[in-house]
Amino acid sequence: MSVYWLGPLALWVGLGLALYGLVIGIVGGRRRDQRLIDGATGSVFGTGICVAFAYALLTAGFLADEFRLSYVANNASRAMPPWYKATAVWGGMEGSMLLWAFILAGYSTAAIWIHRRRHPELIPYAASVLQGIMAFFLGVMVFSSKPFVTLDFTPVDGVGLNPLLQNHWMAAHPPSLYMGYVGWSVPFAFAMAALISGRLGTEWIVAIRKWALVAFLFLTVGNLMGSHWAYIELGWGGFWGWDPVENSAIMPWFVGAAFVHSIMIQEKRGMLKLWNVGLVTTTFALTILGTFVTRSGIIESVHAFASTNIGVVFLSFLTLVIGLAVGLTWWRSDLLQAEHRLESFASRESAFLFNNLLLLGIFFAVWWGTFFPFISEAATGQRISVGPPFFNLVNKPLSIGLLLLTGIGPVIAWRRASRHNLQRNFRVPVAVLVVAGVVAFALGIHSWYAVSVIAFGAFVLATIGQEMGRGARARMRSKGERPLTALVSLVGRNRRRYGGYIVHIGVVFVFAGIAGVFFVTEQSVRLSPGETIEVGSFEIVYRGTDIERGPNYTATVANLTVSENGGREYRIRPEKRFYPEGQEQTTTEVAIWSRTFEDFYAILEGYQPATQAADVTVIVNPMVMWIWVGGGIMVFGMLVALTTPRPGGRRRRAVKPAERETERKTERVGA
Amino acid sequence: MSDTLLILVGLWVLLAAVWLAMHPLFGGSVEPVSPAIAHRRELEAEKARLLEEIQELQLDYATGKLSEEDHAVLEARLKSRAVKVMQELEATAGRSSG
Repeated sequence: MSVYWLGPLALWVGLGLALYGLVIGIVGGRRRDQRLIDGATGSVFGTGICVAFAYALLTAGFLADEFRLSYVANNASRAMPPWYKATAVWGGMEGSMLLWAFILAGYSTAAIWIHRRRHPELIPYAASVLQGIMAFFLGVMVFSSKPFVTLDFTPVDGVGLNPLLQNHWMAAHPPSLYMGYVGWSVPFAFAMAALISGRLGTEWIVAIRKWALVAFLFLTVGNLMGSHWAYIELGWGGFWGWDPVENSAIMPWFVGAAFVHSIMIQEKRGMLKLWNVGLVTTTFALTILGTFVTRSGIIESVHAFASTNIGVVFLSFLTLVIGLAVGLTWWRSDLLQAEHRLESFASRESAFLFNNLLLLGIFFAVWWGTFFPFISEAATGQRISVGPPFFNLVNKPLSIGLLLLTGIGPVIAWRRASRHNLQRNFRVPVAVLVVAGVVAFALGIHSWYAVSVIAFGAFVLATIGQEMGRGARARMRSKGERPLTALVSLVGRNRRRYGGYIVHIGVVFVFAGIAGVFFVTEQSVRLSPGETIEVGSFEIVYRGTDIERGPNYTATVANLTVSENGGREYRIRPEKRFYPEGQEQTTTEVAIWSRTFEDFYAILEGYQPATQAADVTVIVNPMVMWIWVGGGIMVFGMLVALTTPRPGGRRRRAVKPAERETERKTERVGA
Repeated sequence: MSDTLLILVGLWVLLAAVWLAMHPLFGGSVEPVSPAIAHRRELEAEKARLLEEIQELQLDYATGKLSEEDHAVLEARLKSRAVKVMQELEATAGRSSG
């Protein structure tokens, strides 16, 4: 007897528990009935078990080559290495939905467990909203995208996973991106809980600030991994093509970035309450949209939307999410009034607000460019696409403004910057900005974007250096610490603030890497064995071609040696792989010689067996390494910020055991 | 492990999930967190937040992001509120131990 019928059963039971938790969470919260509230939190854990079980079962099906399961047969084959079989679980729509639900189960369980005592007023509603989201995804899997459908026969082998996805970066990219997408469910759920309960002070912000940062961290990592995969696997020489799927992943990043900045203004000044609810709702809605776009292919054609009911289901859920948030916000609008007004445009609050507006401007430009083909086709029947030139044209000035604000925001005064404050905090950074810009121009860099990135990047680094220097000096004076000790203590005791500054250093690196795009050198040639070409300062020699066999492919490999200015020779081997089974697809495996200031990137475009000639494209990509290094610095900064102790966390542990016991007894009378 | 055993384990896991969600409804009477404890937790959270804000305020002042006047006003306001919160906490602790 097959065990796989337990999969749909687990999804059905999970759906039932999610709906039950959705209802009794709201009722329990309104009635202040602790039994119902405990039932709602228990339902979150119970649903988590059901989803984890279903996920484990589907993974087992992939590892066991259970091709009677239609989804396994369509996304795996016997020849695939076990690692790719396990990752093929999320290779299609059905498995992606299950991965979403699995990650949501993890987040929901952790969030409800951690906050059940700290925020008892919010918990029933937060559990209810999280279960509502879970019910949607389980409903999709129960009624539409079913991962456990069985075939009437058992195929000898499966179709296999798209070879482009058989790459370790691509194996890790979707889970990371989904950790980012799904992570926004927690801040959204607590925001809705705050609206329902009417507790719209800083309580919900304090509760979710780390969850928002975790989601933002994974979105950053997911986008970096996806970008790196595109760079090494797609073989066109770039790392970002403004593809609809890429754009869907980056859109919530921009709005999420706005949110993690603007919540600081609510915490410090009691402003932007309504704005923050709007931002967290938009970010969450974009994660749903992103999931849908990634897996449905809806952007490819408006007809794809009409040919499947999944589009209508997702659109209905999105409408429900936005309608719920708008309705609750309207209901609680009197509690969302700002406690202070913006006193001056020259202030920290104002800098953060402009930062938000620029991030939203970039988001809107990306959204418009991504969905314009879909909108135009739906409206006029004619598909009008916009390509990278549109995105670059619009986003270049906006991103430069954002980089400038990255430097201004951390050092400008709260409320109102005086002339003294401006002079004291900006004199040195502005001098650095001017010098860096002039030096860049004098060195022959004449692209306005590249010069701006260098000048503003230097400005940002100068402001951060100045901030850290002043903070460390203050500690040296007050505590008598040595410079290095003072700096380490400063960062250690203010991890959220200085973690953020470290992220900003990473942002400068990423900008520098992106600016390198304007200095790319590219050449395509047909080379005979032994032939030499020169590209920039590089000399490339073609040494012939090998045919090699992999576990489930055959590769044609070109042997090239590269040297710079007659220096040491390096061997690089671009490939073309042919996957004979299932999809009969050919992929390009580029060869990259990565260096600090430029990557040497080689693509084998074709091979002429008769003459042994190889068609090769070589690209010199400046500064690409800085993007990955900058991304790493950003991630490190976020991790530093995440390790900030919870306010009162240490002191809480100091509560006497007897007092704790009394508290427990009072909490659960007669349980 | 045979399929039958796997199915039994699976069914047991799903039943455990249902029990986890349902058992609070059938347990004895459970009272919500008492208002006194809820209030004390709120005070503790506020105290922690105020202390964090005072620390941030000092750093903002030391790094030139607050004028002397703003610093003095904000510091007085935060410290005054922190003292009130701590006094109230002491009073609630006194009531609960008494």
